[in-house]
Amino acid sequence: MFTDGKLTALRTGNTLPVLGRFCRVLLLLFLAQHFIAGYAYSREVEKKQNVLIIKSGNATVYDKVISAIERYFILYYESHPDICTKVDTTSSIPTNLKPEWSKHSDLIITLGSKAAKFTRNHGVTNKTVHAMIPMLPDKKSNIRDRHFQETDTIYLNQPLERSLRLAKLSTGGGKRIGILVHKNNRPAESILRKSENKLGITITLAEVVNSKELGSKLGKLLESSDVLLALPDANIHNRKTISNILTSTYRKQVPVVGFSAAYVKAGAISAVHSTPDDIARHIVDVSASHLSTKTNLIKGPKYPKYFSVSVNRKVARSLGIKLPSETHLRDQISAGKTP
Amino acid sequence: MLPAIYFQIGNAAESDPISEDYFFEELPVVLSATRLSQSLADTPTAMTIIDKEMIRASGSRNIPDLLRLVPGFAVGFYSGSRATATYHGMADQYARDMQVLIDGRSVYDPAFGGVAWADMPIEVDEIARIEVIRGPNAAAYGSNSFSGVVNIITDHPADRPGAMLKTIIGEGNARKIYGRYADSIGDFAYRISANYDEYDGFEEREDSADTRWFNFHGEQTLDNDDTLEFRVGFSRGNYGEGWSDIFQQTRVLNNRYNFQQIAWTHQQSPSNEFRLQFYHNYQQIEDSYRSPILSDAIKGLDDLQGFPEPIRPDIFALGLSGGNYNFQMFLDELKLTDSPLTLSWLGFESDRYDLEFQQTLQTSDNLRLVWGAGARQDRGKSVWIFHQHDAITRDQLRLFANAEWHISPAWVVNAGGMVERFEDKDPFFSPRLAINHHMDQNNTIRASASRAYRMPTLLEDHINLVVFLDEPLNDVNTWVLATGNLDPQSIDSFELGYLGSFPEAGLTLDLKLFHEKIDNVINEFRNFDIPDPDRGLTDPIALATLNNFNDLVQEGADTYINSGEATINGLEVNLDFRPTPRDLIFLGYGYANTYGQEAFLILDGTVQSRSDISNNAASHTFSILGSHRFDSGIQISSAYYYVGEMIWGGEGDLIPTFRRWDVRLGKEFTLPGMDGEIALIGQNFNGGHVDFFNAPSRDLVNQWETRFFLQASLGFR
Repeated sequence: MFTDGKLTALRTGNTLPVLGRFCRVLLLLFLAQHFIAGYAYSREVEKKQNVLIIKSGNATVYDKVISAIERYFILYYESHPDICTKVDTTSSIPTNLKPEWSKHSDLIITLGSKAAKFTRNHGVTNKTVHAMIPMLPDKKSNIRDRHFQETDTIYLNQPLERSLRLAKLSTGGGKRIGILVHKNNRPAESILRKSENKLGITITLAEVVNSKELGSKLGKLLESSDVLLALPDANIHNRKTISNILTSTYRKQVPVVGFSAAYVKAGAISAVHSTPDDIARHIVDVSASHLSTKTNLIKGPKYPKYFSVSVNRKVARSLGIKLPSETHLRDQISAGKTP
Repeated sequence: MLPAIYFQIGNAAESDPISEDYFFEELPVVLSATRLSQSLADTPTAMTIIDKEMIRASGSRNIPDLLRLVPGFAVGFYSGSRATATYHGMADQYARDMQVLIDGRSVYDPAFGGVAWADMPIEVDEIARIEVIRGPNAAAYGSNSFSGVVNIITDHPADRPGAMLKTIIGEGNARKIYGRYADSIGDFAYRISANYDEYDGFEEREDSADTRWFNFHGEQTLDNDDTLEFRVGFSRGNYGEGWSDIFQQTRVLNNRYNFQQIAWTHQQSPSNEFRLQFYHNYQQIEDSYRSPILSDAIKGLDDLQGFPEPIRPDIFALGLSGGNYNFQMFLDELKLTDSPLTLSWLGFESDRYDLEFQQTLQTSDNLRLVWGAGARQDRGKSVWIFHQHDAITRDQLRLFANAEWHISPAWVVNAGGMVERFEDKDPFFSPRLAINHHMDQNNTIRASASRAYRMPTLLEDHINLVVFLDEPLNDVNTWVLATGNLDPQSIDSFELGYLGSFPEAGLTLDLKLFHEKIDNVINEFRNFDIPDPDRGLTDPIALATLNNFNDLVQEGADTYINSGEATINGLEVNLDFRPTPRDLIFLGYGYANTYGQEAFLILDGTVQSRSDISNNAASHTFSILGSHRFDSGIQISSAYYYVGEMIWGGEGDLIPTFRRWDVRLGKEFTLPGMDGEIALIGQNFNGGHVDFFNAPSRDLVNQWETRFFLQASLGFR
């Protein structure tokens, strides 16, 4: 996980000033218990990092990501004792933060748009990683200013090509991919045409202006589609519409490729998405690069590095589509292999 | 500090089209296991699926024509607009051994059996697909799912919203206008459609028809777990019928049909779903006809043409009475009047009321179970056919269960059965067991065995068709009479199948080897022992004269009996090849070796002769449909149908090999706010083939000519 070029280089680099810094620590209870035994023994050589995680709300998904971050940090410093021997993480929603919250953190990780905007509005100068940032298909993030463009920002969305590859793998031989798009969130034609050539597919977009015409546009689109690819856009796919989209497509025996595990559970044949674990792993990758150097390294928004594939076997079986295992599909997509 | 943070967050919260919750929020399970249908590879029997592409490419204007595509099917038009469709033959105008469902509603007529296709308020353009189960499936669909099941599924109203107009004009005075409108109001999706068509039918027949119908389909989604479906429809049609026969005169039938259907589906959990359905079908055919008055009818008899017209009735009466009566005495002594004879073959009303509860359970990842119970009342009413003004009813209760068990990814077992209890009949059980083996992801073999029954229709059990004098119940001659409580006829069917599914190549191939054994065949035959009504006469001369008169009208009577058996062995091929989205080739082939016999004549209580039934089904059926769509929006398609020589039952005839070739040329276009298509359809390019009736001696030959139709449709977005 941490053997990519930048970290290998860092291990031999001048990281000591950072690692030697003494930091005041806010310990989570279970972390404190976990490390208390080894504390006295290692205090002389301890190289401790303080990481503050700001989450956008109390949803369980943030806590899942946080606990995975903590696990990956442990793995990280256990395998990189020269860089750091301990990472103390604190997590909070903004409203519970103490006034001096930004002062003692070596790194701030924000989860979700609200937390990201909060740090921006406070003009935080600490090293920061923004994660779990949703983006619309036309690459318009809902945080648009330069601050975020110049910070490590990890989107929640998958790159279009990744979704297209899965869509192609999920058709049972078809090559025609239909996508419903909102008129304000149309992927650029050039990207679509490039993907068509690269993947040997045809993409048909049906532009929807309002939810009223969703049914007719979908009906027409399905006439010329082997698979419906759902891209994250709440104008199109939301709690109210997903039921109709899934039943309409199923009635026409067309599979839907979703963008979340929940979509698959609801009836999509498959989805490529990042689980809390995938997200945490990527966050720790990026965080590690910050912790191990003084200088800022890779900046700018990026797609999730790690992702998972979910498959609804019952739906696939009913549609007569044979799909390999989830890990096999993920590996095929990673390797850029599509039939 | 805290209030400040609140304030800032509040400001920062722009109206996000999506938030991160969007990627992780739980969604209700829409396509739960209980709502999923079986894939072809897991189905226990051979199936043919006719989808929209095939419907359009075939150029068919009605459902029976679509069924010509299915291997083993024969379709007979007994008049230009009315057809019968049978799988594996042995059928007449009313193919009584096949179940037909439209959106889960059985449209099998309980009185006559079969389906009055022309009266169904449905347009082929509204059909999403037709699933034809080739083989018995009474375990799931109940009695009469005997030779096969035709499952017609119409579009969900939400799938094709908007208005649409379609018109057809063509040779044979074909005129059609169809309109539909579908929309959604909140969670209520609906479609209304209406149709009018007329057609002159065969050139040499007086079989012009006109039909109009209205249909409504509504679906109310109450929440993710509950759906209510409403369907109602009615039709009225006038159909030219009959030929130059004193008892089958040319005349016009007035048909009325209506239905109401309501269904509630409730998902208790993703692995537990209930469905409760009620429907009612009503069919009425107004048909009765009168001969000329007796004296005039007698004057027209061939044998009397050598006598001067005024004395022909007396000559006739003297002949029948051994020289005892002139015509007036003949009338008086036999308590007759110089009135017309009157009867009806077809005039009746029927109702079917059906209530069914069904529960679908996914008990584990590998086991899905459907069970349910139903109750039905069939009702038939006709003074002409049942010799009583009151309706005849028959109740049915049923209990069924079917399981789909995925033993492993490679093995699937389908097992199930239905117990049915009909009023005045012994209960019977229709089981089915099938095992499918997926050799790999492309190849599946299956073996299945099933038993099914066909219940006698109300007509077969209760008919008392009498030729009346002037008015009903003034009995003259018994024409057809039910003489006993019939047993259902049974079929045991064994099938070995192969399904090759090669999605990369767009190819699906189904092969089926089958053996079917039919027992207790319900067949119609002439029983010369059945006496005619005595009209309360006691005088021996009068009685003898009446008997002579009745023998002239018809000696004995037709009746129904369980007598006969048939064996059908054969092979079927069903190939669907779509190498590109623009190309389609569908091929169906059926070979059937049919042999067996049924009673032909009963005299003195014993079967005097039997008839061989090997010609009651075609040995070979073949159909091929090909279509290509060009970039320009032009689609060219063609279909060829072949049915080997066969005898149609009832009044039908031996029909020589039937060949039909159709071509369709269509062009799609788009205008602002609308899409449309214009198509030229040519049917029977190889014209001249004969259908169902082939009796030059009766001046009754249904002969198809080449005909062209122009079809235009316009959809408004």
